[in-house]
Amino acid sequence: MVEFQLKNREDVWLHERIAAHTITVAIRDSLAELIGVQSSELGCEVKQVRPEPGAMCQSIMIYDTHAAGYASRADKCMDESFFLLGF
Amino acid sequence: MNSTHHQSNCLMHQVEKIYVLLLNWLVTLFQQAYQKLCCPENCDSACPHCVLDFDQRFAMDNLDRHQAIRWLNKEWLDDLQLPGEFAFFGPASAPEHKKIYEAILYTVGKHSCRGVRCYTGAPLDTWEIASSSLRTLTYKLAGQDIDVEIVLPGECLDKLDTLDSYLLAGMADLPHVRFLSSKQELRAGQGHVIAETIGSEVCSHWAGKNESVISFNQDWGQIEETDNILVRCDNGEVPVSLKRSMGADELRPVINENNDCILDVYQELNGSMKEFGTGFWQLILDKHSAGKELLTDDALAVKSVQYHDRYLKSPLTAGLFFLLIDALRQIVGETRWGSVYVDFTTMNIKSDKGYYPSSRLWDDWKENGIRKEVMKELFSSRGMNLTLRNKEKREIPHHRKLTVEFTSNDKLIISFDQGVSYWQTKYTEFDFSLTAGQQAEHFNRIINNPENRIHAGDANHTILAVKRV
Repeated sequence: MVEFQLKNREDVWLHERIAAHTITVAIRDSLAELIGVQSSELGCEVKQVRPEPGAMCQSIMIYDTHAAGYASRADKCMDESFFLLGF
Repeated sequence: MNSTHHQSNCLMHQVEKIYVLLLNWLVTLFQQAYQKLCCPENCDSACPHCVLDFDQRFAMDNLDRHQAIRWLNKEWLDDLQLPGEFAFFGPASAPEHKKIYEAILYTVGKHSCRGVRCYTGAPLDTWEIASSSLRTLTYKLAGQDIDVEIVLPGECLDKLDTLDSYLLAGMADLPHVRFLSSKQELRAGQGHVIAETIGSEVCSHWAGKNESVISFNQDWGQIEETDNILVRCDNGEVPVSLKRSMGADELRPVINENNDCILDVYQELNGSMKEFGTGFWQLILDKHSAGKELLTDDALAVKSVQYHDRYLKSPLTAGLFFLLIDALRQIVGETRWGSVYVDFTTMNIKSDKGYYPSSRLWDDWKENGIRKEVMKELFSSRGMNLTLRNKEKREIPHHRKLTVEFTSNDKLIISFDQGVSYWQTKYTEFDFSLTAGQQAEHFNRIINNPENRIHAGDANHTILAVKRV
């Protein structure tokens, strides 16, 4: 599973649920493209968390839907992506 | 044991490798996600052309690309990129996400480098070699058999004081450490080159925007400001500066054996807190005959006593300084001491540093006023007068220097590499909520408790440069 908690340059955490949910889907789709799988192989969710005292954030979570093991293959997929991207 | 250590190092390198790759990869991921939000059909909220997938058909109410773009937009993505003003090495410039020490260690291991060359500069009055992060880094790297070359500005040697020169010579005595002198500072565009790896096919450079990043002090290589970035470049084109090698003997200060001496103090002053001052001056009397002549000459009265220390701001260090001066007064006697004022200059306490409440003897006071009052009360409890001046950092010499002037105009000058901060004590509570007078009384009670002892700190030793002029 991959989890992101985003903050903007004003140090404000992403806490609007609709914005967070939409970004989550966009990131999920991009991640699927980058690692070369169908986006339906990856599920996505948002969850309200407290990243630091006094602050709330919608945490972005992306996971395998069919226990296909993409998460555990992440380093291999990343290496391939970097190669394609010239890193 | 070695095998376990090796495996642990390999694992660390793997983790670091993935971390660096991931950082670059994330930029691409977020850029693509942003593109997804920029619907080619310019829809009102979400549609099959952007983020409305089959599996999101029941979540339509939770999708709005316009709300999302208020967050994930070009400005936000630009913050992930290196701004043009930081492209010191041209297109090959990249943000360095690690601290300089971690970055150097990682790169040296990754490219099997022989070592690293570190650059220094900035005005010499900003240097604090004794407490500098470069000195600490040098010991750490040399301890791992990594060569360290430190490049000094060509003109600095003549201007360094005895203690600083002695510290540099001590570093140059170590295996794997070498000093070079360069007439010109190494610049990369508008950046100041901080370090480069040496002895490998891949040469990595790091640079910072402000000159302060190469000052030989505790902030060397540190990027603390939020609007600043540590920039890295692998195999970029960086101009080469001419350098001259300097041996330890060239760095070692010239000592006038009659008037100067340098003392390496280890655990000699471990013992009762009450005896700290007496022990200190006994050390000077034993080791520095020129100073002993001044201290024991009944014909000479004390004309002035001055001390500069930027970082004296806890009851423990203030108390140890007080014990030093009180013992000096006892050695010269009441008559020779007279009514001299002890002139103490220190740095303003930054009140915004109070993240935690002070409760121990070595915690800091939170503001200038209470420090001044407590120290004045402490000195007056033994019949001494203290003048305390608070100044900005740049207005105070970096040396921690005690100067005792006698009526013959002779001076005994003692420079400390760490001040009295070298000495520590066991956990002792201190009530910072008391009034100044009560805090002074509290400290006097702590001194008089024979169970309270002073011991050498974590540093291996402290250095005193004693001079008679």
